Amino acid sequence: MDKPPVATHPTGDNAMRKTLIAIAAIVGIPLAFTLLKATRKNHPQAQGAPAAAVADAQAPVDFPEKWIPDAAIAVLEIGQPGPILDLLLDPAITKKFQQSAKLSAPAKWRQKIGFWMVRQRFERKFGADWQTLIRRLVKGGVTIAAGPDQIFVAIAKGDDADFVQGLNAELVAVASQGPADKPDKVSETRHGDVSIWTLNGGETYQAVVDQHLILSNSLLAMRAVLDLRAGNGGRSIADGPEFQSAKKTTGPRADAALYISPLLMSHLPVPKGPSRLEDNPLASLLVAAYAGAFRGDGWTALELDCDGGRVGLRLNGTTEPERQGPKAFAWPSGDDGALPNFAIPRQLASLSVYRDLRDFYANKDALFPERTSQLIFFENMMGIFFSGRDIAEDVMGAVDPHVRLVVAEQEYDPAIGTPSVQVPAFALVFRMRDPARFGIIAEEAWQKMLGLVNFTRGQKAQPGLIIDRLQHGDVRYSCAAFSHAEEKDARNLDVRFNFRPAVVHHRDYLIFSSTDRIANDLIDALEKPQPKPLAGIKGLLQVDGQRLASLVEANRESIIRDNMVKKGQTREQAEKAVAAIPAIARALGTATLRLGAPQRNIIAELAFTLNTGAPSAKTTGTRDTVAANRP
Amino acid sequence: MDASPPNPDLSPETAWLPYRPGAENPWDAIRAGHLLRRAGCGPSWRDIRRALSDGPGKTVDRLLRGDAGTEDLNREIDGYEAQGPNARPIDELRGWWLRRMIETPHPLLERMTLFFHGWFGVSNARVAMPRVTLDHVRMLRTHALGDFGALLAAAFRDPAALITAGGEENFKAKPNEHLAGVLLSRFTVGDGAYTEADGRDVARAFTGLFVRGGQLRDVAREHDPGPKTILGQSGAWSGGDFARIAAGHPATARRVARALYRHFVADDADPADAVIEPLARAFASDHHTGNLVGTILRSNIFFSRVAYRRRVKCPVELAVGLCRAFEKTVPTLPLGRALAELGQDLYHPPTIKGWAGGASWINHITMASRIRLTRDLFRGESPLDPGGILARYHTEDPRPPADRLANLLLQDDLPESLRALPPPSDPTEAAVAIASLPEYQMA
Amino acid sequence: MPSTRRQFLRSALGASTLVTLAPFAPPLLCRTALAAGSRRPGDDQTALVVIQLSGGNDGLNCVVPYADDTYARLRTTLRLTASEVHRIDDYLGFHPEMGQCHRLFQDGLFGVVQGVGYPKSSREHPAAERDWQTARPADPRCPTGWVGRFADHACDRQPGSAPAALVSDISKPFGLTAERAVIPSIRSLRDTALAAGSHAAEHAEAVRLVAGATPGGGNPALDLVRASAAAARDVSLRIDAASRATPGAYPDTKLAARLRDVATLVRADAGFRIFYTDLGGDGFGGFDNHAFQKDHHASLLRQLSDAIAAFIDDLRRDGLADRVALMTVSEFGRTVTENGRHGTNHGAAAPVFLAGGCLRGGLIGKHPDLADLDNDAPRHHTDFRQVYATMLDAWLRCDSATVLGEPFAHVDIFRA
Repeated sequence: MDKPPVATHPTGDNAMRKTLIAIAAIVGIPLAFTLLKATRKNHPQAQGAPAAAVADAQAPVDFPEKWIPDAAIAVLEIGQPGPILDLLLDPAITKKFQQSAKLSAPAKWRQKIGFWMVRQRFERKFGADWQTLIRRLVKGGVTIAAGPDQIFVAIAKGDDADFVQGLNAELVAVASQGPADKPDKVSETRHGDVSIWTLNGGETYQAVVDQHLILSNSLLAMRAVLDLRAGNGGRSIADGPEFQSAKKTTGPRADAALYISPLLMSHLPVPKGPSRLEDNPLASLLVAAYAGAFRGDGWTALELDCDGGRVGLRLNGTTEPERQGPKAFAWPSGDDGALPNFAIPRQLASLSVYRDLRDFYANKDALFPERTSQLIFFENMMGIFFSGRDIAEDVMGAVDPHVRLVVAEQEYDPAIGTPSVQVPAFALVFRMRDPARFGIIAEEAWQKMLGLVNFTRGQKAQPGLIIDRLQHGDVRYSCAAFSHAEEKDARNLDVRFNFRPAVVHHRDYLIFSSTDRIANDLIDALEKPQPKPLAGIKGLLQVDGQRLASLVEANRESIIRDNMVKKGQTREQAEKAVAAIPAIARALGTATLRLGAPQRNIIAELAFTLNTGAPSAKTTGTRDTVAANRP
Repeated sequence: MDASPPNPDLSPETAWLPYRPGAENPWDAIRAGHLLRRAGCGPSWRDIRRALSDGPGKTVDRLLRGDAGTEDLNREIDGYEAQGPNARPIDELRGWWLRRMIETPHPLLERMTLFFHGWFGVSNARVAMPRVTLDHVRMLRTHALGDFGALLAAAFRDPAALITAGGEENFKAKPNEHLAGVLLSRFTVGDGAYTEADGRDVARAFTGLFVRGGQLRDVAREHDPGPKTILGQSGAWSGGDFARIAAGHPATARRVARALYRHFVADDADPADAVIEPLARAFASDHHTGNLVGTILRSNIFFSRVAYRRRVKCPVELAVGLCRAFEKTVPTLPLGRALAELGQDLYHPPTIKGWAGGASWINHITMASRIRLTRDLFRGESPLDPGGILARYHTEDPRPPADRLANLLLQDDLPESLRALPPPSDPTEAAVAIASLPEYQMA
Repeated sequence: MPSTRRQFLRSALGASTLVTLAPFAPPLLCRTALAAGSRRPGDDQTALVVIQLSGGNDGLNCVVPYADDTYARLRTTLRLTASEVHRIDDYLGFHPEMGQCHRLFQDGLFGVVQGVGYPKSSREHPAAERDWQTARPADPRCPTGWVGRFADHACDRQPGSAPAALVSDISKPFGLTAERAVIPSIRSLRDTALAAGSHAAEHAEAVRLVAGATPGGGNPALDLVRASAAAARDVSLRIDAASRATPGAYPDTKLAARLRDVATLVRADAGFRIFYTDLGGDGFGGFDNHAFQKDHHASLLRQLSDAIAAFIDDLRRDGLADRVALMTVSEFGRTVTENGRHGTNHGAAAPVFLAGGCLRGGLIGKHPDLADLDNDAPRHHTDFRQVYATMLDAWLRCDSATVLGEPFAHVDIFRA
């Protein structure tokens, strides 16, 4: 048989986006449940003894990859459905899910009654409760493959062929008893030695092969799977060396793994290719080193690892870092790496990166060959602020590659008031190579810049900043603030009252901050002994869900407004969407994104450590960045 | 096929008499659609159904008055447009205005606000202060269907209008004759209706008025209190007096009447002076914009072939009309950007003359963009749901989706040759195809 | 969800419902208005491409007076020497990165109008830009741009035409401000198509059918819309075909990509007379080299030179070079003296570059005398409005006095 049509029809971006959304739902829903569970229960796994789920994960699962046509663009393999089902089938969670689902009352009742009747029927027939039935059906693992145009194939391997056969027969029987207005609801066709059942008027196709129950929304895809299984169907994903090599990168302990084809990967919303980076020096500084790292010719693997208080997602890159050439600025050598993040009061997020700014800037010709007006403007301004000093050697080269950014919730001075839109405080912290010399140069540049800001604002008849000298402990520094003398409504101030920019040069450190408050907190943090760099890690981002939630709540009205005008939502829809964010953020606790190449390839690791802070069964020393953060 | 309004032999006198439905020119969906399209945007099936049962007179009354809930909606959106003591960025304001147009129970008020936006030609490109530009448009909304004299008086003290007219500074020693020229030629009587001496004395009347940082300042010592003669009337006039004099001037009335004729009746040809004169006479005596608009919307000429499909929809009408027909709002921030590409950038008319409108909206590139925009409005997760609308209204209609949607969007008035085409059966595809028709580009 | 999915399945099978529209012989279209989108013989085939060099191009380091003592003395770090430049004569040479333009220059396809500026020229970006854009330096309140006025004029003569387009992603320069004409911004050729992706052809077919239906009826506005819809379809298909024709080899730069789009639009007879594009972007612009000019300028000139050459070569391949004239504009030149930050400050006169098949080519006018500077910058002898006027009258066949407000003496730039 020919390849299924999925391979022959080019797809639009829209179809691809829908596919992505569907995949996100497949991965996201179990993940969300895992999180919900972990917040609710007190992590029985974390009490010391390895949890059953972890032990189960050691057993290798034989996935039916040879049955999946090579037109698939994504494959999800769930090796250990047990822990995920523990959550999905938990009555408390089911209830919660039903409450949040957008069902009208009659629809809800209809659905409930229908579900209950079917449930009764199955439970009677097989003599077990329905949760057990589902567990038996997926006991041997689940494989879900997605093709273009939202075509899916799902293969569940049950614990026993007779059971799966019986289940299939019963499902077909239930489907045949639908409303009378839809005749020919169920039909059976033979394909080779297998029956394909058409259910729901062609919405679903179902077949059974030994212990496997196969579901698809496409007859052609179903046939292709059966042909491959019979050994006469052309290429499967298992025949592709690219898939095989991606498969090798995932650890045997992963609870689930998602494999993404290069075609789908190219549609993911990460910076697209070099042309956009060339236009944007800041984006280039942050992500140039990874451009292409996760987008080689091969498949990309994403591992999902649930473990009580921690959920990890690991994206395994297909390339090694470029330690030579223009992108070398982002790669530390030897034991060097990004510094652990700061921990200051009210901290919302922190980012620590390793970036050799001198090397970055010295390679600007290779990184931005087109000389955008922004780059020229930047150079002109830097020329003015730094009095014509060489930007690469004398300015960028004056700070070392350990750069940290801290974002913290603001506390507004009641004597001044609260802005209508709250912007968190943030600060950039550099380490100077020659503090005695560069500290005062940076101070001068900062004051020149404020002068220019004031001049430009004055031209637009806007109020300007007044520069002051402040003292914290024995550190004196410059800070600028807007006058609030003429403000009428202290509860509804202009956005500018979020900013009181400050520059601090203290010891080896140079701080550019958006408020004096965060500058003071950083001065305190720098009084403590400073930690060592994290070897092999070049980027470390941490976000505190609790504080993110409260920031969202403080700006609730403004986010609702944005959703309405940007997404066309009604007020009610926008309120609902916004209400969900703090809840999710709180459930996520602390999120940590680590980028680097601790071994050979570039990896990205996203971990959620939940608020309870109980130690994780799988936590290892190198992962414990939060602890390293607190000397 | 010829269900469209006939072309009666209209004299200037009979043209503006109220239209009386009759056998030849019945009050039907076509005429109701025509009125609702011009005086509102859209319309939806609900609007048409109601207009048919109310009759033309009551419908025009309601269009002028607006439905309940207008104040609430306006207050709500006023709140969204603010940011602390300032306004949101201008592209968001653009989105909010479009949202207001889509959701308002008083669409004629928004239309007239848009009309006066073009009349004064205030652009944030020049004003460069979103709050000031926003306040200008709010001022227009306040007066758009009321007393034109009050509107002029407010505009003459409106920072955005003064900045647009080059009137930020009005020193006693150096009266601002550029400002006077703009006020006379653009905002009121028009070229040819005033003398240089009028210009000099209008400039003197405005002395002492300054705009600083987007705020109006009266500096008494800079005002010239001496006697002035403006458009034949003498006195110690100030800017407010000029507003009163200009509002009652026949030349102003003729300009406003002519512009409203183009806005509501037809923009494909300039009307004869004799046609405009009855309107102008009435407006010169009461200078009430709502009354003038009412006269036009009730008239014989409005319900004749002279007016029917003789205006090209401006881009805003096209998009807002679709949203109102399908009774849903869409993401208006990106919509504002798309409409700017079609030539209508809200808060940024190209020059002080506003938008030229009519045929100038149309060329083969903008047509392609209109069709693309129409597609995009329905595409993806769009709130516009033709299938849903078909399930809610006129479910007794046995015709295929495309025909029923042609009823909603064109009141079934489409060329015979198109009726023969087997149209798309998918409601969304059908809606896109029908809204892309040349006929749908006509207001 | 199910219905959406069905839609996707259907589109995957290529069975869009639009295809099922019955074949239908298109009645006669309204010919006059359609003409805007159709190939027509005569003057209307010429097109002008304007490249804005944003930020103020240093003319002295483009057409370099390498043998000049003042130049050698004042350009301490930016000086280009005889051995570096592409020699034009014993005094002048092109910047080392302008080798491709030098090749066109030798073939008579590239011209340089020297010493272009205007009286009392401004040295501030916004004011000088505005002057070049309005072409009315004496009227700081001028509400429209010169391209906009050209477009208004053209639309008045021929309703439904699209005389000018911005082919760039920058915000619309003031020069394209028109009172009446709608001037599109074309960021990619998709902006000219009826529908993106695989539906384009089907949709175009549907539009052809409906646009062609029942012309006449004594409603000229509706006729214009119908004709424009039909023209939109024709042009969309022609652009589609032209963009699939193998273009010449263009370098991988933004400017080159835009010029390739322009070449496609010329091939497709899309009806535009002026294409406006830029090098250097929004804001103050990439040519505003107050600091570290040497590398930046070299890079920009390489992009400019290579893109122009690729464009002209591409058009020549299809015999279309005679239909296109290209010119550069920049708000000012730069000072002769450097500013201590390895850059130069805002100046006055600078050269205008021209390229195309109908040009006289070569050097036009004298190089400004560096012994007679205007406050440290070369002095102009040719007004930029003379160049505009020549392009409008002699190339676009549009009365320049209507557009510029007054007549200007022509510059001898076209072959007799």
